[in-house]
Amino acid sequence: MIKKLLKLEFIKHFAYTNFWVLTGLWAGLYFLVVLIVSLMNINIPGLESKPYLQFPSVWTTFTWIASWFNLLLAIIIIVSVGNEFSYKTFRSQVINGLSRNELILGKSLFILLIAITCTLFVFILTLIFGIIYTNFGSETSVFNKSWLLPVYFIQAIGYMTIGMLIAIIIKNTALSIVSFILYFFPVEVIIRNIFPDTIGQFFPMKIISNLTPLPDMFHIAPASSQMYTSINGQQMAMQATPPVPELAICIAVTVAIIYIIAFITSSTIIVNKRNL
Amino acid sequence: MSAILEINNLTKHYGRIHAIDGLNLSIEKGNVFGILGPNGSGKTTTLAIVMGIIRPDNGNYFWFGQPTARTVKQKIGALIEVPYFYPYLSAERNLKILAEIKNVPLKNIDRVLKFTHLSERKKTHYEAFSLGMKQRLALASVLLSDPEVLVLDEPTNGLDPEGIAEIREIIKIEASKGKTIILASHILDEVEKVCTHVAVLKSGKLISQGKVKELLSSGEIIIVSAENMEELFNVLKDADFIKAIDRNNNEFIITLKEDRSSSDINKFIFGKGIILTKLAVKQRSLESQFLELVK
Ligand SMILES: Nc1ncnc2c1ncn2[C@@H]1O[C@H](COP(=O)(O)OP(=O)(O)OP(=O)(O)O)[C@@H](O)[C@H]1O
Ligand SMILES: [Mg+2]
Repeated sequence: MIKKLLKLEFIKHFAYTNFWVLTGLWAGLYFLVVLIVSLMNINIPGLESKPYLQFPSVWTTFTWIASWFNLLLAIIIIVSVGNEFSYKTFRSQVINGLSRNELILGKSLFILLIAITCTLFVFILTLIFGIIYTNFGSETSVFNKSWLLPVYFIQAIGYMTIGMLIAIIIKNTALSIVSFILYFFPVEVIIRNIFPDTIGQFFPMKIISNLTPLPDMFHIAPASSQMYTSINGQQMAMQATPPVPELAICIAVTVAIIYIIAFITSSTIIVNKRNL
Repeated sequence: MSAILEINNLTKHYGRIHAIDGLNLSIEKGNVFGILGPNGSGKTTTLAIVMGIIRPDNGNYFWFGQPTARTVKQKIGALIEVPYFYPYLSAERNLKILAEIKNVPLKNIDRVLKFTHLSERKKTHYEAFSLGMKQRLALASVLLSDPEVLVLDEPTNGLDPEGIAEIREIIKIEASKGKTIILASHILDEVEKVCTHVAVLKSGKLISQGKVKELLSSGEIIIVSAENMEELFNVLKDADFIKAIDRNNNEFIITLKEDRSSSDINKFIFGKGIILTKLAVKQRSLESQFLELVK
């Protein structure tokens, strides 16, 4: 059954230009930003090499950069699910024998496949750039922070399952994309502010978008306070925050997984209840 | 009984609208079953429910005596209202998806495309198809698994006269193979030409059901009048070859039993000593019958 459902998603997307445009955009933009970051000269006194491109810090840097493009992954899923409603092809699949649970299972497998592919892409780029920029000494631990890769994997799945749920609720591609972005900012931020911080920090977007920690380079910033730099024309505030403790990430990952299960379950319940 | 489809007390509301209201139907194997009714009478809703895409508020249905499962769906080919395909995929690829779902060998795709005269356009994207070609592709998808049961909701929608004739031909061919066909339509002529049985719906209720020949016999009606209408009526009401009498202004509209003709009635009335001032034979139109049914 799993093989059949994956094959179905493959037939649906293989000849779909928009899918490849979005996927290409993701890979292209990610590669471009990584390239720019590696060529960029950030003048930090006392640092002539680029520690953020060396093992093991490069894992943090590259998974963090990859997290910028999760929105694109969510859009891929929103388009895929939205199309099924716009063209009523979910209907035709049920008429011809799929169960409603299998509709969701198929999309979930598709999400899994995309997440695996993207994680693999991040892994390969990280290895290549890490090897280029690291001056291998005796105690260079190449894979010390590679556990951030599965964290990124969970994060990507998190974005895509939210995308699926929104597309199933709204049933319209364009409206779903707008709603997703609006929920990301500012809707959740506003709602979050109503609650005290202890609850606010567990909101889905907050948890999921913060899974991949800020690269180490921002922690070496001069003690003076904040510094600004321009990456890709975007002003970014880089605060000298203390490094995120690994335990906190463990908790965040657990909460994120719970959210993912909740999103898939809600999607299944909604699709089972409603008319297609 | 070998009911192919059994519908029990099916009900579906949309707000205050009763799309289907306590519908009971039983369709036997080999029937070419027409579901007839004016626009909005609940035909599409009924078929969408039995194909599992709309959830009923109440009631249940059984295909082949069992609840719906994949194995059941393999034996059914359905076209509900309009074709549902990915516009950006080719005809062939769209069918491939359905073949995969139905566990049908890929060679069936070529067969049904040929059958619906779409072989040459199988690489064309669905969005580039004309309305009639889309409908043909939908029909191809219905026939893909060579199903035992065909469920067709307005299958001739958007087709040219040639296409309509072809669809009718296909229905007849499939029916002659002993397949069960469920055909929803608001076109009377269509139902009359191809169906063996018919159910008439109105506002979601079943108002009439039976064999097409009995329900929609396009028989004759006879219109008579005489000087003394009361006397005429007294004579007519005792005649055993008359099925129904209606009074319309200054004339009676008579429906005769089968194998009786206007000469029988003329002879009979003359024999009773009444001279008719009018005797006319009219072909009863299907439309008028249909309108009568849904009145
Ligand atoms: N999604 C919907 N939302 C609200 N009302 C609906 C919906 N679908 C159908 N209806 C209503 O249900 C009733 C039955 O509709 P249905 O489509 O089953 O009619 P039909 O017999 O197929 O008509 P037609 O001959 O025009 O195809 C109509 O009054 C219609 O307005
Ligand atoms: Mg209809």
